[in-house]
Amino acid sequence: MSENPGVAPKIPSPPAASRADAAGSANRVLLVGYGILAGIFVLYAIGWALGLSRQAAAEPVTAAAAPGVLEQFLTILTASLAVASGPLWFASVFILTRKNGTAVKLAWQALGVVLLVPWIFIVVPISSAGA
Amino acid sequence: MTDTGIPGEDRSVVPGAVPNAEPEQVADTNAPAGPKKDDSDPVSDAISDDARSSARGKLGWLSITVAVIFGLFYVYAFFTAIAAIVEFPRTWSMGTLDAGSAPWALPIIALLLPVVVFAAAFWIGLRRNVFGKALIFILGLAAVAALTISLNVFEASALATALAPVGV
Repeated sequence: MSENPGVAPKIPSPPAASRADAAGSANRVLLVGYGILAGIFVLYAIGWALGLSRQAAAEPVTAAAAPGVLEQFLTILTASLAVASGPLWFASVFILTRKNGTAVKLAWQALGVVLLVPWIFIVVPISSAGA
Repeated sequence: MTDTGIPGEDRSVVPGAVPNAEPEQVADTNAPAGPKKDDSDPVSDAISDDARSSARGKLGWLSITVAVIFGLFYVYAFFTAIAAIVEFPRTWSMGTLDAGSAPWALPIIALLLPVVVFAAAFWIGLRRNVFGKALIFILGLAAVAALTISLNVFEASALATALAPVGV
């Protein structure tokens, strides 16, 4: 008997319902935001890969004539990090801001969108375009 | 302690929240289910020790080691930027280039980038455990790599623009 009144007041408690609604809409914003961001960062990775390979094709030997093993390794590492930077940013910020609010999460992700633009793909080398 | 210490990156842990002077004792009373708690492997011991000092905002030896190892890569980026900024005036004084129009901001930003990003990564990761610190250092390194390449692209683009009238 005592349980029925506990179950019944589902309807006359709008504050709880609206709070759940607010949380739900925040989650929906976050979910849509993450979908868009994931797409952007995947495109960034593709852009970096295409841009770097285009540059490598344009100037086959950019470094010194005979770069050492360490230098070669670090050059490859740098290029790999650049390609991975977008997805890495998305995943890392996702993990590191688990305990933060929606605004903080999206702000950090947005910073990555601004910083990691693959300009190497977007800026077409003028010298090759002119020649 | 190993199970409770590692996964949560305890940013919320207030230093001094545990009134007991010995965290090990607290862990033992909290986890009575683990009978062989004392003979956990040294690796997770080291990690949890480090996590405990990180929660207090101090640096354990493991955190320092991680910072130094990742720091070497930042140092490499810094030296690369030094080499680039030394080369910069020579590049921009060749031919009929007006040396005054050289975009000095680009190599200067590239030079500051590893230093600033390392400091930021160090500061952001201060209260996190060693995995969080490592992740932040890797992310910073990736950001430095991407931004440095972008700055090089901007410089190459500016150089091509400056050289264009000469070529035509």
